[in-house]
Formats: sequence, C-alpha cells, structure tokens
Amino acid sequence: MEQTATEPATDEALSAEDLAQIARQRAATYAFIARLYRVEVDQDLLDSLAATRYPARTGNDDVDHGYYLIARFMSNTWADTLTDLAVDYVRAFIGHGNNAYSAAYPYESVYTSEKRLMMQDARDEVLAIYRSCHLDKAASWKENEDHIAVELEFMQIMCERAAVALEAGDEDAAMTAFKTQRNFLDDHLYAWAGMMTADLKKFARTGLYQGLAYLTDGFLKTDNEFLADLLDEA
Amino acid sequence: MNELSHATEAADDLVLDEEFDPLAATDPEPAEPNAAETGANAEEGDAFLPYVGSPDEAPAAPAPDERPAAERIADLFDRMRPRRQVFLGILRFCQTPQRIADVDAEVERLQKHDYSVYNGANLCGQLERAGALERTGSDEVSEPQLVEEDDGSAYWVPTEHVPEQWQITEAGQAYLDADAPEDRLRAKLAEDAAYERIYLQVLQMCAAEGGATAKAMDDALINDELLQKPRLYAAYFFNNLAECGALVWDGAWRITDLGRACADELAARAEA
Repeated sequence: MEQTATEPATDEALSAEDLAQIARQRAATYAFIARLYRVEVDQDLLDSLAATRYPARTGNDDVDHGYYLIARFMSNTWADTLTDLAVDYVRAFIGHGNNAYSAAYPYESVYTSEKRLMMQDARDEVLAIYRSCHLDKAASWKENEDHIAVELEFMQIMCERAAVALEAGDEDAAMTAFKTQRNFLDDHLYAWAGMMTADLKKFARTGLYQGLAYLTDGFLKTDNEFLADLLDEA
Repeated sequence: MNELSHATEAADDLVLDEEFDPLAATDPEPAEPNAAETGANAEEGDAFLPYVGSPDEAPAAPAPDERPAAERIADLFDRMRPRRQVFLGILRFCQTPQRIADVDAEVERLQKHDYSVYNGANLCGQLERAGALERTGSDEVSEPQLVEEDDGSAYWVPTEHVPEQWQITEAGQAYLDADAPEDRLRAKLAEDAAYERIYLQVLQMCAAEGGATAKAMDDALINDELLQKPRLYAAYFFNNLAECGALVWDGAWRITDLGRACADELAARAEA
C-alpha cells in the first residue's frame, strides 16, 4: 500500500477542523521520526519505507533534503540492507569508544549535563512533565525517559490529544495541549536535538540515518515556528 | 503509543502525594572534597568524576585497508581457516555472475553440515572487502523518481533497484587458481612425516561405509603410543586432512577422491 509521509504544518488561517487535521499529520510525522530513533529498522518497517512517498517541496530545506536522502537510500537497497542499517544504528547511536564523544547519544541528559552523563536533571524534568500529563514509561521500554524517541512520542501524544479535543469542540483543551508542546519544545526537545543531529550527521553513514538527522532538524524548527505563530495569534 | 502508557486507567489504584515535588532534589548535594581527599594538585572545580573524553579525542574513522587484494585475500583465508572450504566454494560458484539470493542459497548448502554464525551476506561481504568478490551493477546510485501532482505538490518515490550480482574478481580468480589442495596435503604430510601411519589409519576409517565419527577415531587412537608425547588426539589429524580437502564432514567424516589417492600412496609407502 502506498503511503505518503506528511509535510510540516503552515500557519494560514485555520478552522478547528483544519487544525485537527494538521495535528494528526504532525502526530504522524512525530511517530515516523520516533520510530526510526527507537530501535533498528526491521523488515516490516523497511517494506513500509519502500512503499512511502516522500514530500519534495515542503518549504523547509532540511526537511526536503532529509526526505530526499531517505528516498534515495530506499532506491538503493539490496539483499543485506537490514544488516547495513543495524550496523549503522550501532555506529551512530552507541559508538565503539569509551569516550563521551564517540556517537550521537540519543539522550537529552548527555547533551545538557556538564559531563555528558546519562540520567541527569533533564531526565527527571521530562519524567515530571510526562507524569503531569498522566503518562509514564511503558514497562517494555528499558531506556531512559529522556531518550529522543520518548520525547518525540510525547509530542505525538499531545498532537493526538489536541486533535481529539478539537474534533470534540473543546478548544481550551486543544490549546492546553499546544501550549504544553510549545513549552516542551522550548525547554527540552528543540533545545538539545540539534546538537544530537549534528553528531548524527558526523557518525551515520547510511542515507537513511543521514536523512533522519536533516528531517529532525527541519521538522522541529518548522513545528516550533508553527506553534509559536498559532499560540501568538490565539 | 509504545513507550509512554496512560496512567489514568490505574488512577483509582494510586494515591497522589500532593506534597511531592518531582523537581526537588532527593539526595543532598555531595560535600566538596577537601584537598587531602583529592590531592594537593587538584584544581578548583574538580569533583569526584573526571571529564570523560573531549571532542578532540574522539576516535577517528578507521583508515581504509590499502594493501593489495592478493595480500588481503591471503590474510582473510589465514584468519578464518575454519571457513576456508566455504570461501573457496563461494569463489567457484561466482566464477560466473550469480544473483545474491542464489549465492546465499549456495552458502546454505555449503554450510549445511557446518554450522556458522556467518551467513552468505556476511561471508560475501568479507570476500568483497578483501577484494576477491565484487558486486556487479552497483557503480551507479539509483535516484528516486520525482512525481508532480496537479495541486503543485511533489513527492520522491523510491525506485526499484536493479538486482545486483556477485562475481569473482581477478584477484579472487588468481587465488582460486593458485589453490592446490594436493600441494597443501603433501606439505602437511611432509611436516608430519612421523605420523604417516596415523594419517593412513584415519583415512581408512573414513573410507568405510558410512564414514567415521570423531568419537570412533578418538577411541581408536587414544592409547596409540605414537600420540602420547607430545600428546595428540584424533581431531588434530582429521582437521588437518579436512583443511587440505582429503576429508569432508556431512554428518560423519568421509573420504574424498583426494583422500583416497592419498591413502593409496600412504599404504604403498607403508608396505614398501
């Protein structure tokens, strides 16, 4: 089945219905990016990536370049692509040195603590935010709560909550969700992801993970701008 | 949602602590160490944990192996001796271009009775890095197709990649041509001339109907006076013969044509 990756949202005058649809599209993009960070690509995801159409003119150069790199990678797969991607995932996110600068460590604490350690203040803060929104780490997730996949999934859930609220006519609840997202981007996700993606561009060798770095940069920037415009107008 | 679960369903089972501040420190800050604890040369600001590395110390990317292909291939075969016969089988199979799936199937056949953690892709990748195999049709990078929609939007659509094939390289063919199992067997027998009788006994056991098991050969040789000092076991002999192509394992150790010729020669020498 052909799928289409979603484009970043724009700030034109919007009805509640339009806003709900945009919120669902944003949720889909957050889910897509989160999945690529969470664990290695498996066969189901690889098949899905091969069947996806990637937007070519979103208005953000980083998003466009990221989607292009992913599409080009998917145009050059071979019998052992899953192994290539698994190797690159380890190379990019785990590294092979005992040095805190050997990979693009996907944890906020590493990039926001003085000594690049895990389980620092950032993890405690995002955990508190999740719990304030009645969310907690799933039992199956063994990594820390400030892993980029979890932070992206938090944004995904807030998008879905906003969409549900808008569809139910509850604009206040939707605005609360949007404000939570904006604060979370400003204080956490958008504040550190750029440093991680800079390392990802340095360490990753496959087009998929290179493209993921550009896509993350462009999408978070665009989404941050969208929320700022939306909430400033409101 | 995968990693964040909704806690509201279980809210009735939880009591909320209204005084709890999740951002409050749960442990007091550790006391700053005094000079006696950290040493007289400790700089101000050094805490218990040292800084872990620095950007300038980040490991550099590994340098590419620029040795000649012949040297890399010889090194690979030397490092992975237990996979020698499989590597040679892959090179023979790829003397004509073969689809990757077909090579993978051939490797499965070669390793049917010889379990390995390496699959066809791993082994072919190692041969490729050594310069013995190459992928045909892979020089050009395929570009995705740009599809324009009526509303002005555009999408990249991944194109289907032309199936690649494995093919032996010149260096790989040279190594294959130079492989002379007879010569290797003669060299090994010359090196172990004192044990010709043992090699003959092992070959004859493996020539029997149904081949021979490692245990049977071990039981037959365990008390042989020739193998007490230095202490040697049956595995030394049948592994050497297998590496030279005189024996093959397919559920039991069986003699090959080369092994039969060798056994005949050793038997003739023993009678002389």
